[in-house]
Amino acid sequence: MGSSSGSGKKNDKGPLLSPRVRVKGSGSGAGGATGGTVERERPETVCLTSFEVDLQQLPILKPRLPLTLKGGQVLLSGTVVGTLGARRRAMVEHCEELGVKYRGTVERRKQIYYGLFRKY
Amino acid sequence: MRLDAVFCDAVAGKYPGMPREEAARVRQSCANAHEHGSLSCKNPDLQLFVEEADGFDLKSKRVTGTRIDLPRYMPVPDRDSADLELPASAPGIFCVRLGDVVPNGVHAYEGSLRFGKSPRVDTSYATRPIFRGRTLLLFSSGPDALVNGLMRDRDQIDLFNELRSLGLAAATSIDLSVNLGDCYVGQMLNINRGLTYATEMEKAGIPAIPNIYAFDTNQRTLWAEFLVASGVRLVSINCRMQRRKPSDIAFVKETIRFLMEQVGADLHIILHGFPLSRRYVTGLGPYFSRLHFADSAPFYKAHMGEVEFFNPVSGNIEQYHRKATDRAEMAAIVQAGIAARENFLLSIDVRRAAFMANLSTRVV
Repeated sequence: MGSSSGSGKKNDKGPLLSPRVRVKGSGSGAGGATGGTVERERPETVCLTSFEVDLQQLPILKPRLPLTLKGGQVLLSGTVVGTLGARRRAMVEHCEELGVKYRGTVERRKQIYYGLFRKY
Repeated sequence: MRLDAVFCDAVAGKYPGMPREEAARVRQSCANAHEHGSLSCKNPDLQLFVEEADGFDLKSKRVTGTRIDLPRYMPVPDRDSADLELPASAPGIFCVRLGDVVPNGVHAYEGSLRFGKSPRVDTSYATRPIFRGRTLLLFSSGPDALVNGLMRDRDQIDLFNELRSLGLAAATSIDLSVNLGDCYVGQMLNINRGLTYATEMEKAGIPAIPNIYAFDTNQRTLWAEFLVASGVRLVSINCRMQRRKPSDIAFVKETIRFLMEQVGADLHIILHGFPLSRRYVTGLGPYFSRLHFADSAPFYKAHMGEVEFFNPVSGNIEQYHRKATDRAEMAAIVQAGIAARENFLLSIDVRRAAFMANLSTRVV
């Protein structure tokens, strides 16, 4: 939708979907053939810009300490401090194949520590 | 000029014909605009978008358009209201929205809407009670996630042939985002992509009504030139995002005035979601006979328990509270809302006719 003040409704929008690559003779006219296009998967459509992970509330946690991901586990200086859910782990592994990596930090909200991971 | 504009290719003059002054109004970074759902000059798949849009020239698009006798007011029921049975006195043309025709088109994900995995056109939607005996127009509008997804997957889901089975009298071109403050390249591409959608729709046998967005003189001029060259004389303007601010409505009214003056006396415009109050229709008098209004307000108001009526003293639509207890009462409240709008628009016609008669008497 268009808007003359601002960029429309923010939560209407997901990542922009690119057109599929059209191969010759594709398109749907009256009785036209369907299919004949391939989607080029783009990281923007499957990889979240950032996501949060629950952490075990261990004494070693301090705000802004760096976190890493390995095999679905969240590590702080080699110590496991959290685990990714199955869906999130699948997304991270898939995004790695697409060339997107995540870097995280320990954050604190209302005395509870959590991990915040962002694309880089 | 904002810092974002410094890195925009349209502002840098890499796209001849695009006005740099207007392009400099960009209010977000072109580099990562696609992550936030906007099309920009720095999109990694820009070439695919340019190919889909078939370039930046509106006049290269072959849209025939359609001419239908439209009533002054057309209701746009939401999906929840489609089982209401309205009396025969209700308008003969109703409108539907893409989001209601493709009900599983989007789902919520991480706080925003995402395009569904297997969206299908509900081909039985046109047979719902509210549409019986009526002609249907389709507004190809909806959340950005839906319209972008349908634009991408239109061939995969055989969209146009499915829509044709609804028996539509016509459909608007798809309502892709054209927002003031977005990259100008993205704005122009989406305007052109909308027209390529219209041409494909016409090839599939659905008469097209181009949906117009224009925020500056350059875009208004391009649209006027396209309409003159193509002979299209029925267009729509989606005002649903503009209705919140008087300044936004002023943009729409300026576009209406410009097109009506430049294109010709046979141009008709459907205004989708234009706020119907005396305050906003002021200034549209000379073109009023060629404007057609469509909105969902009677249905929305009925769901909210508000009964609308036209007050000839104030000259506006007013309301009182009454919650419907059953579907028949809900239908009656909806019908009251429709009648209020028809009477409001009729009152504008009557006042205008009286004014013109008075004017001609004075001239004589």
